[in-house]
Amino acid sequence: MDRILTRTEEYLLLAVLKLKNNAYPVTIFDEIEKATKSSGTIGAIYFPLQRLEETGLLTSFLGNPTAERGGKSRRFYQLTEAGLQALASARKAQEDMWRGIEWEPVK
Amino acid sequence: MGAGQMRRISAKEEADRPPRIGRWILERLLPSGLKPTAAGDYEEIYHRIRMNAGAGKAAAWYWRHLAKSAPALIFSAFYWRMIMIGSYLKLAVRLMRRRPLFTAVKIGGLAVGLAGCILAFLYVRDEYAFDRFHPQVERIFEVRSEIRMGDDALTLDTQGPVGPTLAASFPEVEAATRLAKAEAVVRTEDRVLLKNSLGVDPAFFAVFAFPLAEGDSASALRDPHSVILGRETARQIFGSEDPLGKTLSIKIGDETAEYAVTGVAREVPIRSSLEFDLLVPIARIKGPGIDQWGPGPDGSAADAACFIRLREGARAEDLASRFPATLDTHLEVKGKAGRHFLLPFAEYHRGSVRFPFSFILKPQSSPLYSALLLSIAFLILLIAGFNFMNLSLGTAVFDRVKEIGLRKVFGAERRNLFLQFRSEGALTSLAALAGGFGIAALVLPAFNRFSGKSLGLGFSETGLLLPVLVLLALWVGIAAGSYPGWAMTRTKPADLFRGSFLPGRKSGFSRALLVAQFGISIFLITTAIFLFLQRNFLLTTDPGYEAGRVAVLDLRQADSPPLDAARILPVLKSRLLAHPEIQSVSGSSSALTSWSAMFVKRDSSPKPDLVRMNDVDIDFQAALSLRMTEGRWFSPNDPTGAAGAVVVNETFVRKFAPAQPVGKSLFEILGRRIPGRIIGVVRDFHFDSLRTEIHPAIISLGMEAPEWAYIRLRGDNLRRGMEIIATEFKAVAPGLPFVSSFLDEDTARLYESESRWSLMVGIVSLFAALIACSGVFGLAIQISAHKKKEIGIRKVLGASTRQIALLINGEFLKTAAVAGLLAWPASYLAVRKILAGYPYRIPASLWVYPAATAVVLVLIVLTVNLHALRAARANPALTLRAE
Repeated sequence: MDRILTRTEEYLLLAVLKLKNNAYPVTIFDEIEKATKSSGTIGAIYFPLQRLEETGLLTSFLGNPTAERGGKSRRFYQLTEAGLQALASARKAQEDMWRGIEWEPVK
Repeated sequence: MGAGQMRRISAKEEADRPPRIGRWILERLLPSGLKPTAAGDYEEIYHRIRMNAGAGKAAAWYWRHLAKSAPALIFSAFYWRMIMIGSYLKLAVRLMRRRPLFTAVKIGGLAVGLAGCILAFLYVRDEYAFDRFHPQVERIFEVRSEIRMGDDALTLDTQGPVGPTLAASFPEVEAATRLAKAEAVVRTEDRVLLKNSLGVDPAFFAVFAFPLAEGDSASALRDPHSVILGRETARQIFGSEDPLGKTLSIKIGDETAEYAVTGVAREVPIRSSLEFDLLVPIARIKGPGIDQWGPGPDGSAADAACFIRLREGARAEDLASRFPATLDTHLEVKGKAGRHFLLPFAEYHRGSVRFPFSFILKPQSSPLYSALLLSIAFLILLIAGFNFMNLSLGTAVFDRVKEIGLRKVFGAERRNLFLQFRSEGALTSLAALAGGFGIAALVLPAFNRFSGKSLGLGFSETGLLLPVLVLLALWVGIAAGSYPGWAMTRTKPADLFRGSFLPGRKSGFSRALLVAQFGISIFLITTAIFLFLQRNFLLTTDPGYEAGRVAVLDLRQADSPPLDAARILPVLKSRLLAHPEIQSVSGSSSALTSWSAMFVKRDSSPKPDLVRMNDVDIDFQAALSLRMTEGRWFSPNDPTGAAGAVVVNETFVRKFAPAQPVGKSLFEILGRRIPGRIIGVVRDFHFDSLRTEIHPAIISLGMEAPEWAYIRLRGDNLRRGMEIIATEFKAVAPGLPFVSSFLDEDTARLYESESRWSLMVGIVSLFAALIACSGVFGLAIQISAHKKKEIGIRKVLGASTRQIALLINGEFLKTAAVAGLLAWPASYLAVRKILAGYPYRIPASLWVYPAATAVVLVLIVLTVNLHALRAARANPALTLRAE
């Protein structure tokens, strides 16, 4: 991975990783909203998800349509090997940056 | 996989779903990649909130997030579309590379069409830009007056005081200037210069924008003997010296005077209807009588052109409505009432308002030329667009069928296929636009020479044209790409693969396009042929005099003793006649095409006739080989001058003296104090160009002021003759400029514009036909592809290659015949309209129509057979194999 992930991409990948087999836009969005406590909109995560799939960090497949979804399918996402690596290097970069800083956030 | 499947949803469930309108909006917003799933995500969350907090909260959430999501979704749709267009363009470039000939024909045709548009736009824009350098030119008006004569009106300039009166007592008028034009002879120590002088009022500079480079425009013309020189004239006379304050001897009319140079004007812009080399106070040209109402002491009324600038916001109609009570009261001529009216100067050049003939301004251009050029450019662009469409379809049939079929099988939507064809069209048309600019740049020098303009393609000249053209080209490309896109996408993939794809055959649309292309080509070619025939007719019609071997000598500068023309012409004549190369020498007081004129009213007709007059010497008949029909030409014993003998032309006799003209006096016939007794009638000849009818003419014998000499040469060595004339002239009139030409060349020059336009339309129509042919080429490929199996079966059943070729050609020839039938009446009407402007014109020869059609047919057969023969020769075993 040449490019460092953006924060949004990193969160999306982390959410997919955490949600295991139940990662589709609704759950991913819930997960991120829960962690960041900011109120975004679900419409804003589709494009980065598509881009991540386009660059090969995610794959997706369609689930079955259900009634509460108005007869539409879910699109489930999974991390690829490249996705996992990208997360690993993002994490390493994060830790490297913090290393040696002697400061603790209050509380 | 049930991705696209929808479960049936009952009415109850429907009531539990998000608002219908909201769903509909979301569906529109989603990019195609998200359509199958994303709406479900929104609905799932809606469902959850409805369960927990009720339908109201859920709906509020739905709407809020719809609004918040919209920008991101729109951006996303746009992004993916750009990516898609990018890959379509890549594909398009590959396809173009694969078929270079096709691509060249396709782009080339459109490029020619666009080049035509560029030139036409530049021309028309130039026409519209004329005189626009005057700020707020729409406030400038010319004042004219007219006197009613029965049903007709005689239009005049205005009496001298009109201008000053308008400026002084009409608050709407900001400034008014009178204008008069005269030739000025400027004498310096070593040279005589003939200049175009304009007599003006000091307010000239307040009406028009002709800034001074030196001097003060407010005071420069206050002194009655001041002159403002044009920059070029100043340079010619004074070189690099400062001309301000210098004096010059200038002769205007009959009066020579010393003038003080008080200013130097900047160059007159090219696009100006008003031109001058020097400016003098108007009284210098028109005399002091110009400031009086009515005829002056010598009986002649002093008239001048008059231009005014209205104040900001003043309306011309309001001003004109006050003329009857004011200006018009001064305009009573022999009890006949007259009126004054205003003409918008801004409309002068392009001719959208017809002005009466002006002695001051450059001729009006005909709006017909702009219209002709614009409509030709439009027609060519139309043909090029059709052809572009046909070629796209032709390539589509050849290369794209399987590709498109496959894309459809893999779920490409119609919208995507459309986008693909449209982006290809746009790419091709932009390439064509670049080519079009190239062609326009190549053709521009020739076009400038032909149109007498100095157009350029620089950014400053084209200005707004560029974005307009880019839009136009894109529009043509997208529109032209849409048709093959439409034809392809509506066909089922199975049909595409099987090869039974028949665009245009069922709809008849291709056929209609073809008819239009052929029709336009035939229309243009017939028009061009008629224009050319008319031009030839003008050039070859016998003008009634023999123009060959006649040298014309301009004596207008021999205007003051001792070297005045009346004195030098007899000397020159006797010296020239000593040479065997010279047959006869004669003098005339006016050049052909500019004989003097007066209006004469007949009792029998409500309309006054223009009677033309000229004074000539006794050898005029011999020099021009005029023939007499009655009576005799002048003899040496005839009295000259007033009360002398006159010769009239046939038209004069026909209009004024039906019986026994010879021997009658002019007074008796015209009822006017015009002296002269008719001694002969000369056969009608065209002293004007063939663009005007022959007027009645009176020729008198008089040699007080010859201005032109007509010299008939003997033998074929014209150059030798001209050398002799030059040598003798210089010996007789040392120091005077030798200005001469050949009469037949002068006559031919009269019809220069006809020559130019027939050539122009001819070239353009050939272009149109060629572009149409490239479209035919595309269509021929298409048709032979359609008929591949038919041809195969026919060959198996024993048809010859020739019969097959005929089959393919027949399609086109039938279409061309239909196109011809449609084009003929249109062309007939157009040609009739163009020729209506000529009193002497060619008959509407019927052979032209089939001839023009035949030209197109031949071109079609040639083009079709580039390909059709290959199709006809194809081995049926190969073409039938697939079934």
